[in-house]
Amino acid sequence: MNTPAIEVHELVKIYPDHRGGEGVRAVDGVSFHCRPGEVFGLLGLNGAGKTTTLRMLSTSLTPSSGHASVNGFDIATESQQVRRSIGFLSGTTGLYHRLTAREMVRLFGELQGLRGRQLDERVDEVFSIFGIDRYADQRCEKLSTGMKQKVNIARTVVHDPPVLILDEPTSGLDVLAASTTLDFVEQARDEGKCVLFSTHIMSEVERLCDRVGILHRGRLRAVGTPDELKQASGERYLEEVFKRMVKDDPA
Amino acid sequence: MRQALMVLRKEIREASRDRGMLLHLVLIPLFLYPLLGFGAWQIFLLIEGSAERRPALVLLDASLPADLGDSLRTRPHLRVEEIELEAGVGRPREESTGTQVREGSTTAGIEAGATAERLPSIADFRHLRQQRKEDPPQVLLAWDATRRRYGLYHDSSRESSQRARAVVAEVVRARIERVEEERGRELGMSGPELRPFVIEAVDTASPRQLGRYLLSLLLPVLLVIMLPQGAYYATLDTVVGERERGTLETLITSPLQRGEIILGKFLFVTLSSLVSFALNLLSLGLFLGFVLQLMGIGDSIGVQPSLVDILVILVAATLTAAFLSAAMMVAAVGSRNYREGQTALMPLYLLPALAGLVIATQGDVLSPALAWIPVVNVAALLREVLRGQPQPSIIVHSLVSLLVFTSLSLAIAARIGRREEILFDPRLPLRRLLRWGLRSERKP
Repeated sequence: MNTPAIEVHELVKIYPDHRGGEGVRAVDGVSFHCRPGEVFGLLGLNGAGKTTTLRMLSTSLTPSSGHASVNGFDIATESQQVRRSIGFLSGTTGLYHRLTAREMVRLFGELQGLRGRQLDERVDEVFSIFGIDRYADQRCEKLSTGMKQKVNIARTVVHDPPVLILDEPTSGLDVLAASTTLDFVEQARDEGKCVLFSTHIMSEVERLCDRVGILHRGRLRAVGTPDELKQASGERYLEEVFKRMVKDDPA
Repeated sequence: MRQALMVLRKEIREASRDRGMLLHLVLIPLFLYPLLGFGAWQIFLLIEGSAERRPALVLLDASLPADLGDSLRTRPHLRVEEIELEAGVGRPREESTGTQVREGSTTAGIEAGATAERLPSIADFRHLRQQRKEDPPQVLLAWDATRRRYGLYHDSSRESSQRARAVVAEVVRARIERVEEERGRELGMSGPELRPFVIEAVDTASPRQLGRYLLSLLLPVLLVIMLPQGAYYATLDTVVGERERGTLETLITSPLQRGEIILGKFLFVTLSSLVSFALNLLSLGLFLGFVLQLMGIGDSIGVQPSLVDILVILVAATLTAAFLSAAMMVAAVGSRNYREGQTALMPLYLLPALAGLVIATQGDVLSPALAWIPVVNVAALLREVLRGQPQPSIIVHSLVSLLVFTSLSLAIAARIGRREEILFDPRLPLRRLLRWGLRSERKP
């Protein structure tokens, strides 16, 4: 079996209150791992701690305790290397509206260390992969929602990262734009990338995830393949499994 | 540094495509003076035009010598009408003297220092205007033959009355001088005997000195108004806008260090501030040159600054822009949207302008204590340098002060910028931001 690209061990995040004391324990001792060529889905209600977990793994947030590594780099001490190894996409990672699609993707390619011909070729390649060549020189503000999402994905993968962290990437998208995103996740898995994916949409989990972790009130309640979870709970559908987990464990 | 320059390049590219930014950073600084000048010129033409359309009516006491009326009739924009001043309209009234002098709306007593019982009162002049309200007189010139005094009545709240008063006063003065000369000749006096003392004012300032003086009046004000203007809009766009548009998280998850992001944005804000100032300076220079030529005094005032002047202006402007940029970034970093950002930045936008006005209206104000107040010190310093009277110790104090305050503000901005709450906390009061900025972060 491959070495995990993401390893999370007893990760805790406590948001302090306004006086600096302990406020909210958003993530409470979460542990899991994700291997290359695997899509790991983090499933949970709003406020379950999915986004906080992913933000810690993308080094936007600092863990209160516990540790984690991405592509072999420690998120606390090697944050820059971690960010070079990941492509991070969420419903809140916006585009620079006044830049063209090409400028946007080039900028992030440069920030990831690509230069000159290598950068040009890679930008052309991702535009071709996502079929957005025709829109490359249009400003992002003039693109449709679907096109914006494609540009955002191109921005995420321009440096060909081994790990993708996607936080509810289909949130707020129409059916076609969401489908583009899901196709991209499948393609990434086929290319051997490690994909960590958070959602609360069961159909996406059923379609994409090799393994699932159900997160509730900051704690990971169950981890396994969708079939393993169904078998263990005796439920036919993953949605029922999820509802039971949340219901049975009001914490 | 290379990464910070990438951020700077991105900011410049974005700014160059934003109409609002172009308006505030380029167009307003560049066209402010020509537009203001054009506006002022149009108003002037309008006033002149209306004055020409309706010449001012001057009422002349019929007892005045005829040649005075003849002289007045030769002047443009005046209509002269003689009037018999009768009891009830004019003389004599007891209230006249004291009231006239106190209210200062008449130039009585031109020819002699007698009391004014025989001149009309203010109430009489008002009554006359009221009587002829369809075509009110702008000036009344009365004559007290007993006391040998002229009474020149006008209404200083009206432009046309003021202009007519000036013309009439000039004609009367000329007549007084003529009469004095005639009397002198009759007594066998002439030239120096008639006027034994003459004051001759000699201006020793060279055109260049005059030019530097003019610059010393204008530049400090320009500096403290235009630098904040450029920094204000750039900060709103690059700090507040990044947060509001949801692109900050996109940037944060790239390999950029937080310090590089802050440095890149700081460079952009500083550059915007300087560009705004430089364009405004260019615009002012061209406009001033044009106006001086138009007035025919272009050769007597040399507004071209020397190389040393330019160097001083450049250093002063750069340091001030850097300080303002860092301070504005600290003020704006907690704002969630443009409205909050505008509220947070407004004091930093207005205070320097206020300081500039103080500097412009005060005399030699730069003391060692004042030299430690950022922005004020540079405005005052610039003024002193351009007037050729800088004190080296005060220059050092001012520059050190700016460097200290800029470094401090930038350090606070960097400390705040490193806080993860900046990204995700919806509520960031200024007190909390300053606490983060001034205290070192406690690791959880």
